[in-house]
Amino acid sequence: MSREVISERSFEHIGITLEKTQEIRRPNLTYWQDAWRRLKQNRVALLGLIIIIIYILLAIFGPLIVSYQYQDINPARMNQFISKEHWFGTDRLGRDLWVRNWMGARISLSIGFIATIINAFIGAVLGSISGYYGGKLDLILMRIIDVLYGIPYIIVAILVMVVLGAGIKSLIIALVIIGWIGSTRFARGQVLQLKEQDFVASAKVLGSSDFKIIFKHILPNMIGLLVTNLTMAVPRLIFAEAFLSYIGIGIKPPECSWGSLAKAGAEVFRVYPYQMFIPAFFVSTTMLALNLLGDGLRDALDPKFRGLLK
Amino acid sequence: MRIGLRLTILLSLLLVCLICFNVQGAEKIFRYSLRADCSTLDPQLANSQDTSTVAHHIYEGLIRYTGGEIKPGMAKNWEVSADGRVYTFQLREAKWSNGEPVTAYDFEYGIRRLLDPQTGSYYSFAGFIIKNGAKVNRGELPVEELGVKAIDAKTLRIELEQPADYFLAYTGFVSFYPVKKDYVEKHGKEFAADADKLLYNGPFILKEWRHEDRLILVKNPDYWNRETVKLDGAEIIIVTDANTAVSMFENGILDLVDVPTALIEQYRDDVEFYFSGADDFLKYGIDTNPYLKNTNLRRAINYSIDRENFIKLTTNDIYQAGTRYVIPIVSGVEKSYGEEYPLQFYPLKADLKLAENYLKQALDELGLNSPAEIELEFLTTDHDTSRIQAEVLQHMIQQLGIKVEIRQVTYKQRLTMEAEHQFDMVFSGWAPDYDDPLTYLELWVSDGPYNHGGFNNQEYDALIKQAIYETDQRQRMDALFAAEKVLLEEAGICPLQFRRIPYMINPRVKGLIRYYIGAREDFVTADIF
Amino acid sequence: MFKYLMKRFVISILTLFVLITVVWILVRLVPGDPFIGEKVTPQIKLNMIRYYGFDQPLYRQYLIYLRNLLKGDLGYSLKYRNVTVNKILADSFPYSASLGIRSLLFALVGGILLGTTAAFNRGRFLDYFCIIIAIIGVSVPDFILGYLLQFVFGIRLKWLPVAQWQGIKYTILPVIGLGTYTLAMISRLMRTNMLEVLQQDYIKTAKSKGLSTLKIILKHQLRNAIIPVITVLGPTTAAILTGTFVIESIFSIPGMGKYYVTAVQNLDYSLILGMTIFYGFFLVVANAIVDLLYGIIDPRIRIY
Repeated sequence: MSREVISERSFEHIGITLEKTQEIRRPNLTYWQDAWRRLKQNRVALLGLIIIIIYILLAIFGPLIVSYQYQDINPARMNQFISKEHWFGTDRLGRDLWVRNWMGARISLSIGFIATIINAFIGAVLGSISGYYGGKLDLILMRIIDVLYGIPYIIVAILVMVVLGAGIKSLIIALVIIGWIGSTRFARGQVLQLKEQDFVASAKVLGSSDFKIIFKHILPNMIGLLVTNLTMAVPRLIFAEAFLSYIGIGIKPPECSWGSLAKAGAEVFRVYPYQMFIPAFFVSTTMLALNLLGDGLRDALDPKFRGLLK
Repeated sequence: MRIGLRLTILLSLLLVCLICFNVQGAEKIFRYSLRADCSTLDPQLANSQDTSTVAHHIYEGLIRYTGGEIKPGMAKNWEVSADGRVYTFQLREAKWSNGEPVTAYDFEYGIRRLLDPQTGSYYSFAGFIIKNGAKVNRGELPVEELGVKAIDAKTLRIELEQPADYFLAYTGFVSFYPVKKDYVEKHGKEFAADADKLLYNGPFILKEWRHEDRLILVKNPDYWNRETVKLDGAEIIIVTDANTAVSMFENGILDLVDVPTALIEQYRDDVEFYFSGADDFLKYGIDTNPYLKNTNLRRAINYSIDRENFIKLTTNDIYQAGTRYVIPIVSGVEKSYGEEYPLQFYPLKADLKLAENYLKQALDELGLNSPAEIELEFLTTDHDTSRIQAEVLQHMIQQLGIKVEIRQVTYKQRLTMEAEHQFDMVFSGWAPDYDDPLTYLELWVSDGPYNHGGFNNQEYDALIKQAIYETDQRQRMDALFAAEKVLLEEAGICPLQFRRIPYMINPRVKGLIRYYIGAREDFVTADIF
Repeated sequence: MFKYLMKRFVISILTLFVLITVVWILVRLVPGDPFIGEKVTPQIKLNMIRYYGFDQPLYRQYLIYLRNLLKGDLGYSLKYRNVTVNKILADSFPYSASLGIRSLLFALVGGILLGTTAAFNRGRFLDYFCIIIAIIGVSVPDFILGYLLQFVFGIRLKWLPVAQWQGIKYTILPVIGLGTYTLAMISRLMRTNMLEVLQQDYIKTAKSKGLSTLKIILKHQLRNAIIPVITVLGPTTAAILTGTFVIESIFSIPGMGKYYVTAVQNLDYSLILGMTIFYGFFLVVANAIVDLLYGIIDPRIRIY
């Protein structure tokens, strides 16, 4: 029996330097870059994002590329179908529908986003304070939310609209009234989860103030899910605005939103169906795009997320 | 084998379904729709044309007013005193749907009820023509002091504040229908809540009232004039969406439908028109706006309006331009008012030269240098149609150099602002209550409750007063015509349009009458072939 | 359990109370005048105000209203002078209930079927097809869908009636219009949850034990996947309820929704209040039941 001698000659020095030990084989992805990469791979969600971006661009620039103003009445050209002069036709007062559709887009989209952001803000503040501190404060807030949760919000929103009168400000107020509870609950739930994590414990041990912990540690970790939630909430608020305008208490003419345009179109639907189909199409595709984007974001930001569709 | 059996069963079911759907009763049922349900069928609380039209078919007043003609109703004959103030009616033998006779006490009770402040009736003003009517309604006198008395079970005496030619026709109006006192008191607040909480004495009975869904009428076998009723019944369906109603008409479910102006293009060849009697005009805030106090300024505005164009642009030529104030189809002495007193006060197109003349005078009188110093607010409702009217008028008035701002508010707000004299110019109108020029002209007396603009003209007041107390019919009509001319000369209002309603009707239906007073659609003597 | 019920009960009562008060105040704040009309003079208005008791000071009106409410008296409608709010509710509720229940069933059954089919055919054509239907359903607002259905099937093709509620064939279009949104939501939920559950170990265990796919679904998956669906039932009922406002108008169905919108426009105080309370009560009860079901079906989940 021979024994192999493992001598130094068995090994070859290939040159291990400090640099090589620290060579990076794969790019180091942050959470966000990783999420973006995953999102890009989701073609459907990407389509949604592109649609939204196109609509936003059209909302901004659409009215500018034609010479008509959204409130210009032209009795000589009422109820005209799509043509070269009027790309989306005209309504019953002779107003150009291309301009009105994109002015409507401005209002519907901005109301949807603004109300959602306000909700998110309120929710984040209330929810994080309540969830972090817990105790009596939390209990009281939750009881209040319990009581308020049962109220049929559309109904209160309708009444609020009637009291405040139609218009963008009242709509935003009404929509915030509808949504703040869901967003508060959501934020609170997230904070409850996150505050048990190690990084919070270590921040506490290191002596960070509560304020710092909430704003520098907890909230940034929530943002991913928050953004997803936002994206899913916007279509609901756009729909609520369309609904309120449709029953006549949201945006009133000559101002326009997609909902009020759909309502005006519905009144002449039998004879001029295009007047309703056009805003209906854009509302639907916007909500579609946002839903797809939201789904994609949710998958990208937390592939194990088992969130409930609320 | 199994397939064969299944097929047979399926086919037979289909057959049964087909048969069920195709077998139409040989019944003649007239079907039409309303945009909103009748708020009540209590005669003294009725306050809309929908309600009064239905009421016209299930009740009957002293007379029956059909298409402008007065025919005996519950009263078989009547006498008018020499001074035109006292009417005595003799009632015929007629029964309520519960078998009890219709008596003069029922009329007495009904009319008292109308004026009784405790009833809270919206239409109580209809009874102000009756002696002490206004005082009773204000609570200053008890109801027994009202000028309505049942002499006996079949004789009714009504005394008026002043003679009124139109009063006889007015008794055919729903507010003056009879009601049985013990029946009303038995049901209390529930009276008229449902088909079975009402008594009927008209050509039809309300068999079923499914709220917000439909009203089902059937021929009244006990109606005294039942030979003239050819239909077996009627069905009035509540359809809020005008588009849906038109679709239902096209699918044969409805026999009659009003065509909304927005859809007129597609149906222009198929529609007929009737005048609704509604008169639209601009009301001026004469007592609140310092500029509009000036008569010449108002005249300038009135002449700057191109009425022909206005009608074309805002109503697709459906309405008729208002070049005078009182609608010509109103009854005159023997013929229509328009035939006896023709008038085209304002030109169809604008007269800018004349308008500028008046404007110049107005500026001088007001001590202004240029029309641009005048700013007026145009008040109207927040509908799209109102918008287009406002903008077209604004455009026309601004030709004079005057600045016009448009303000849109909700309908109720507009009415409130009018009532509180908070407007410069408001797009307003009036629907007639009875068939006489006075229904339009009495608005503008200086102390009239609806004179929200504060038009104050002594000559006008005097002419109206004369017309009210005048017993000679021709002289009375002359005075009314003179008053109309004064109103137009002094530009108390700016007349704009008379409304005509386009509608489609099933050609198999004959004898349907549409009139601007009384029942909007009168199918008492209609028939279906 | 009892403690939980009591807690739920108290909270529900509080909710209703807050709702009633808020709505009462809002209704009184609405600008405009319920009695204004073209021909109303101040005297007539005064008579009507006295008749309805609006000449009393506000706080007394509130207390009177509450007292009547406890007696079950919702008062008389301002517009329909002789009809009580209770009667209006009683007459119109069956229509809305019929429409709502059918739509809910349609959404549940359709949603579950659609979601399950998609999950089982993951990645294949059927999956994409179901997903597309779901996505469209979630995106198209119900009033637009309602008009579309009415236009295509009622007016152009004339297969189905355009309006009213008088038989089975009248129910088809309104139910589809009302229920599609919920159907889409439920199917997406079902699909997601089914997919997850399919990957769980206990499914693989069952499969390896030789159980047929059908049995697996019925015994294991369904129960777990349905839980999130139950959670959604609360807001779903609310969504269907508000959907009735529009669908009933479009299809001329004499339900509560149609009354409600007209009541708001007419400033019919008593009707607005009465219907809102009814809706509120209804939703509060529905939410409570959902929470209960939730707790029963999955005792793991803490009903907080």
